[in-house]
Amino acid sequence: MNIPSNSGERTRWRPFRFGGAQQVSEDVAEEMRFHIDSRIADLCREGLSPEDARARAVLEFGDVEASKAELAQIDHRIVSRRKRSDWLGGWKQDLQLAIRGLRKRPGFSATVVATLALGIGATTAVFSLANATLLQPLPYREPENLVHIWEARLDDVTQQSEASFPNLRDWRVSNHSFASLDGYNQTNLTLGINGAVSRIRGLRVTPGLLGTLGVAPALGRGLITSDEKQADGPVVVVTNQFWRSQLGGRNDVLGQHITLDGTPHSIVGVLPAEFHFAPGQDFAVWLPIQFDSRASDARGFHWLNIIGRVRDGVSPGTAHQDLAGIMRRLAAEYPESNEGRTVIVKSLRDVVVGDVQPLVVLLLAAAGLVLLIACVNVAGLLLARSSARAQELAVRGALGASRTRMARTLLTETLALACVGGALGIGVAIIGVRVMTSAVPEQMRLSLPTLENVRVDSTVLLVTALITIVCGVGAGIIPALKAGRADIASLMRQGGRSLAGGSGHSRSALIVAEIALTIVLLVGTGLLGRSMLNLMNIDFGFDSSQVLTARIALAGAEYQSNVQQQKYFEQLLTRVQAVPGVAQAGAVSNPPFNGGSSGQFRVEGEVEPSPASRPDALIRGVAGAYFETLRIAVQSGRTFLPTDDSTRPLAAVINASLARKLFPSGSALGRQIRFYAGSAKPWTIVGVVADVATGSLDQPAPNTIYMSHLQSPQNRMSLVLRSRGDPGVLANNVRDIARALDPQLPVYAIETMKDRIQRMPEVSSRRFPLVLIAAFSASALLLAVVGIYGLVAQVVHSRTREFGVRRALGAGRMEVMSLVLRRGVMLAVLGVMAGSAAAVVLTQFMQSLLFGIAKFDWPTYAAVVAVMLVSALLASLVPARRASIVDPVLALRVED
Amino acid sequence: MNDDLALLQGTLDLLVLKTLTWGAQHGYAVARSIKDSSDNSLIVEDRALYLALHRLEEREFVEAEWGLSENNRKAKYYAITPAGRQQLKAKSSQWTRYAEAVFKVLGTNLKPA
Repeated sequence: MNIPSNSGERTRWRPFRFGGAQQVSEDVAEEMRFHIDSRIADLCREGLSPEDARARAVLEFGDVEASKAELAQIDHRIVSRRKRSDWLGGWKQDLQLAIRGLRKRPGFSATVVATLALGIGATTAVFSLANATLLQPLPYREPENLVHIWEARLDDVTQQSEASFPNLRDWRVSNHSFASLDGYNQTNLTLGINGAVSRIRGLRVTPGLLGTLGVAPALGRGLITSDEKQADGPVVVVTNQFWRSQLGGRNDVLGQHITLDGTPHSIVGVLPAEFHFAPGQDFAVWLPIQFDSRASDARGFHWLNIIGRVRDGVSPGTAHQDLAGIMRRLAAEYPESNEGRTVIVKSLRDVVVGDVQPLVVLLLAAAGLVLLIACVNVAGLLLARSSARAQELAVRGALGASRTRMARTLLTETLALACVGGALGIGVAIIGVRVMTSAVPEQMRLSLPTLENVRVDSTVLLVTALITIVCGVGAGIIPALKAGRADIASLMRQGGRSLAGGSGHSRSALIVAEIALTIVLLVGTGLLGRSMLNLMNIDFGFDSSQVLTARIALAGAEYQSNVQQQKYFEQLLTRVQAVPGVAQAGAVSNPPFNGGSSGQFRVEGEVEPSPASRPDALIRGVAGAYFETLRIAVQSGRTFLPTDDSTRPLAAVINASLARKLFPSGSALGRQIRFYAGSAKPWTIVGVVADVATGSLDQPAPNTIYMSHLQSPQNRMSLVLRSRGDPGVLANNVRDIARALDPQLPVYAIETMKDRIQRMPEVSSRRFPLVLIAAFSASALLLAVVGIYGLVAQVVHSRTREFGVRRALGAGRMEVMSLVLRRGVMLAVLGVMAGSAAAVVLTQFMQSLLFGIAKFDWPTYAAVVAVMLVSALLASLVPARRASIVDPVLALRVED
Repeated sequence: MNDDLALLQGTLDLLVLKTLTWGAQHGYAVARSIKDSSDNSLIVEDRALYLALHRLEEREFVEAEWGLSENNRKAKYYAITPAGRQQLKAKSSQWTRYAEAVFKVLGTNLKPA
């Protein structure tokens, strides 16, 4: 056998190194040519003529062109695969280099990773919040078609109210935009179950509401029209949470009874677990609407909140126009009740998240700022590092590394750091989310149950990954680009130090940017903080210290008559006043900061107002020493005496702003008013008291008319008592007294007035973001200080020689120190100016969250600027001091 | 004709790999080797051979390098890779088992390799 042997010397080279498609074809052609020529040579050796040999060789091979095509195809695939693995191999190499480099400088790497983790973690945590609250759809069928409807006055659409049932009937009949319209009303009920009584919140609804929302019950059925008439006795549908907690979650509850307000109700359905009634709070039970003649027939009696499902393709605007048109027609037909009234239509989504949206957006902005500051910080650190590595990079460039390749190496380093930082950031976010959800105020949690679902889920992780990559690239791009542009020759000559001067400018720019961003955050925090302080210091019109409130609702047969109700509360007050710790006690139908019933009235002796412009006022029934207990000032006349009872003329006390409105010139005392609803007996004004804030904090005090409960009986009142010491300790006394009087009546909503104020949405909704933003600002300030320190230290380090020379030439320590300090302070000043300008612009968007302060609140700005400048000074101090003690001899040595 | 080619392709890969275990060679040399080793009974179609060589390169059983031939001409040399050697081992034992089975059915004794 002839075994062909390798030839001796041979130069070899891997094919396809730098080739493209052209190269592949040429190579294939070359290979075929070699084969044919070799065959020709062999044939010639066997004796054929060259022409015959060629003809024979070509014939033997077959279709050369087809062969070339096939082979070229295969080779193209080989080339692509090789290019791909080269590319990947390059990245792998870069990554290994990067990791090795970073491990050699653990301090630098740790700083960068920590900074990024902070920024990414904060952003991720806040994004989780935004994801759960703003981005989740409401738990109903096609929630985008659901709207919430109120009635309102045409001349002042902020005066909105519930709708009346006759109006709802007309809307249902005459509309073109809605598939269904349903109403609900909140109520409190006394629950009697297994012998224990408690107070629960319930929802009274029109039968179709569940259907409008598109929710099917988990057990049993929803409510149907015949339930209103209670043909088979009163029925109730319970929520899933109630079913689990109070009824044991048993499947046989249908048909069982629970007692509500003394009457047994049969359970006909259980709502599903994932369902929550978004517009409202923690309702335990759903009941059919209760109609009395007034509720069903009085067009002027507003008590129903309306939810509607619009037909597909109809916008809330169109639906609004539709209903507004119907209202105009009704105003003409029933001027007495409907003149000057219209509707407000809002998408249900806006109603539910509307309050929390500006908050979450603010938090996102703040977190975004922190992230930006972190990236700027990291970019600065990277620039410093790359200038220190200038020599290494120069050598690499001289050895043939392309600029893109070097840039890619640096970018890989940054991305590696970013990924580690991102991973840590997720950990930070998970902890942050847990802290955040525990700090969410109760009010927010109740009105937005999706807050329970805030967690780091796959959407959030995806966004985090994206942020990480963007940060990595963003922070690393500047140093990477600069590396490519380094002038190698000069670098080698001057030993790398000169690069510091150049990058010092970019780094300074970064520091200025960082300071500016920090200023924006600090200003935001300051403005919110001052708003909070303003809120806490509002004069509410009464003294809220040492006051305890508790509410009692009378229900059942024993309390049907007026006399019985009045007797109960009088007895209650007598007993409460006898408690040693109680200084004074009284009661009121609705305490401050709660709404309450209102009524329209007219003043005797004045021109009868048109229905659209009738004055109305909140009506409060009071008992005992109410005004004295809350220290509401009496401006003229008197408050109520025990003699103001059913045998005497009806006496009313009004608040100061109402008195001013009704009787701008002259006294209100002695004037009489009559109400439109109920009996038309006149009430004589016997006193004027100071305004008391009721309802919303930043709105003017509403018109309020007070009456003694002896003349206007109340079946539910809030006890208010002023304690000599800590009001909280009296809670048990109150419970004991109530239980002794009648164990069937629950006492609920027991809290001190101070706590009540803290619970108000205006207060709690501002405190929550304030705490978070304060935390962000503190982090930002820390990062800025660290950044300034780092830059100044680096500048000092690079100018060590210069400082040595100066000292050698006789410069004092202070002189050198001030040289360095000037740099730091100058940067801070620039940053402060830029930041203040930006803050003025950006805080425009915070307007809705501010309270009691102007947009440009100069004390806040002054304080923030001072803090920043002092911090910058302190940050520069340490390296400045180090510069001043440079030993001239050491510095003048040739550095290595 | 077509399926003859396909069958041959699988066996051809085996023969090419075996040939290359004796050293790196260019395509023409491999063709000649196979012809000589089989005492002229196996004649390989040139197209099929080069197809086999390039496919083996794609599957990384052989690797190719440009070099200079005996008469100083530029030629593409193929060498077997470790993966190729493993493939050769696997495929040749497979082929042997196949041949034994066929022979059993045909009732003839297998000649020693």
